[in-house]
Amino acid sequence: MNDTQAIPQVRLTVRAPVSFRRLLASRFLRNRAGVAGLVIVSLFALLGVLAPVLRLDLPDAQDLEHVTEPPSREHWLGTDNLGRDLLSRVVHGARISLMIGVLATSVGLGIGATAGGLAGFHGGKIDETVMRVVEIFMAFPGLLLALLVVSILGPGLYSVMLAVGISTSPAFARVMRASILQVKSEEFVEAAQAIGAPGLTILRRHILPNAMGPIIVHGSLLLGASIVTASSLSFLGLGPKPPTPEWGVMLNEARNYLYIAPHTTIFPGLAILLAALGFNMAGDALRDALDVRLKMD
Amino acid sequence: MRRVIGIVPVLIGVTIVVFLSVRLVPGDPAVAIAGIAGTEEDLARIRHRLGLDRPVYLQYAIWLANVVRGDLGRSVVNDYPVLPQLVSRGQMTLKLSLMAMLITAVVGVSLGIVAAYRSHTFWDYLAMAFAMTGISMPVFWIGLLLMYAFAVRLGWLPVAGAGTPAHLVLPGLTLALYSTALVSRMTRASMLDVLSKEYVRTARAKGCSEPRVLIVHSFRSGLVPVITVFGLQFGYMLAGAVVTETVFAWPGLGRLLADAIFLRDFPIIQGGVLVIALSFVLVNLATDVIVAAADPRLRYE
Repeated sequence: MNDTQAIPQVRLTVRAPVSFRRLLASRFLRNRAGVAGLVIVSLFALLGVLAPVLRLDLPDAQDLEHVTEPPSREHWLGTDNLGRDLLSRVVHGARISLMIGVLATSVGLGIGATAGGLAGFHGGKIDETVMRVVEIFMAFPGLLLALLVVSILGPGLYSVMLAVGISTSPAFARVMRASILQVKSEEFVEAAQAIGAPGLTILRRHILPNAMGPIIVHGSLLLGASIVTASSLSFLGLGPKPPTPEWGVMLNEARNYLYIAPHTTIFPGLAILLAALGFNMAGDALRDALDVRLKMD
Repeated sequence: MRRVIGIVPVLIGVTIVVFLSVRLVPGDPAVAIAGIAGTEEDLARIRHRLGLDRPVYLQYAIWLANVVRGDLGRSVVNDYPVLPQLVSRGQMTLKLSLMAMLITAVVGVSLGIVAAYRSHTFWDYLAMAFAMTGISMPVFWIGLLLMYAFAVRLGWLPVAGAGTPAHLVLPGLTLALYSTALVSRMTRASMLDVLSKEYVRTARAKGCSEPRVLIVHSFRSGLVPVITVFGLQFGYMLAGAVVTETVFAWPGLGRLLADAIFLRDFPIIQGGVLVIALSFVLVNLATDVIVAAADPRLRYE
């Protein structure tokens, strides 16, 4: 008893350890633009998911007595050249565009990260070969590569997805390789090698988890760009066929009515802009929160 | 110099990709030419005439030899040789891209410098909000909006087509927007980096005027990374022109390419893609040379 009182009491206030995820979340949430982006994206996702159950007109339902009407109480965004409800078409378009964005980015990430990861992890001949091929594909500016793929596959929703995905894969490969190389040179990897951990275990447990940051940031930044590129291809008539309520397709139809019904051009384009803006702002915030510098070489 | 030799395999790779891409197209060209009435013998004869009965690597060698001699074949649609079409259309696209590059250089760099110099003020936020919007903007949409506002409504500029300098304004602005936004972001980041350097503080400490600090001490090193982006953007413009030219009916390479994809006119697609990719590689090479000239530190690496 006496002993304990003799010892001066030192009060240590130990803060509860902050998990990485929580730290990340708090850093992200401090970025107002990032939060705004996340809200926009969630809103679009929600609209896209709920599109079939919202009490909207069918996106293809024509009403030829009410064509190219400006926004009104019945049709909040007005009607298009065939009297279709623009709101319904824009909302259904969210489904398609988000799906294209996510799937195209996944294709790019899948191909690119695998190739880049392989190159970075193995090094040597494999690295050299893969990076040569990447370099060749980098010689085609993004949209050009997408155009080339679409012209081979023929127009359509899935060719656009695949084309955009393939066109983004070389950059993914570079980011992944750079990030693997960086992690590979860390001491904890050396330590794992020293205690004799097998290569695959090192890759799975030590390298991959620590190398994912840049690739996730790169992917989130590309989501917006993919949506814009895909809608550009659709606008050129290389995507899904009308009457699919895809934003680029809608704009391709609307441009012929620019004089008499500018609202049919304004709203689908605004939707593309907002969706891309949302992803880009959220991606920027994620990059700052993870403190990643995207290195391409 | 090593960089120059380094691009040779890339150039060869590009020609292989372009050559193989057309061979990947489903469908037998011989069948397309002979039609349904064609017999097996007809098909064999056409394949022989097109050289399709030879091994792929030999076909590639023959094709490459022709390309080097400037023979890119003839359009399937109008039977005109491909190269002259690419050249005349390419000039139009070059004109448009140069206009857009000029806008990007002037507007993008100034916005970036202002944003960096007045960082975390209203002007910075305004410039960066513009930049964020610019990189998210669908090119064809801003083209249509500009067309509606300035050509249809106000009637200040021609709606579409080419001919007078006034025709260049709207497509030029449209094509420039994305690059301008991107360059202003890059310039800001790079200038912020430089402005926090010790030598800039030293310059201020010894009483240099602010314009002198900016122009003499920060500008040159701050702009080196931006030059690289410039080169990349030029390539993206050549490809991005496909969209802009379609919106404004600008008779350039991009429009030719878009039409060819629509008509499945593969000799044109092949030639167009090849020309754009090769110019992209060469522009990037030129950029590297310029960067090395602007930044002596890189020359000794």
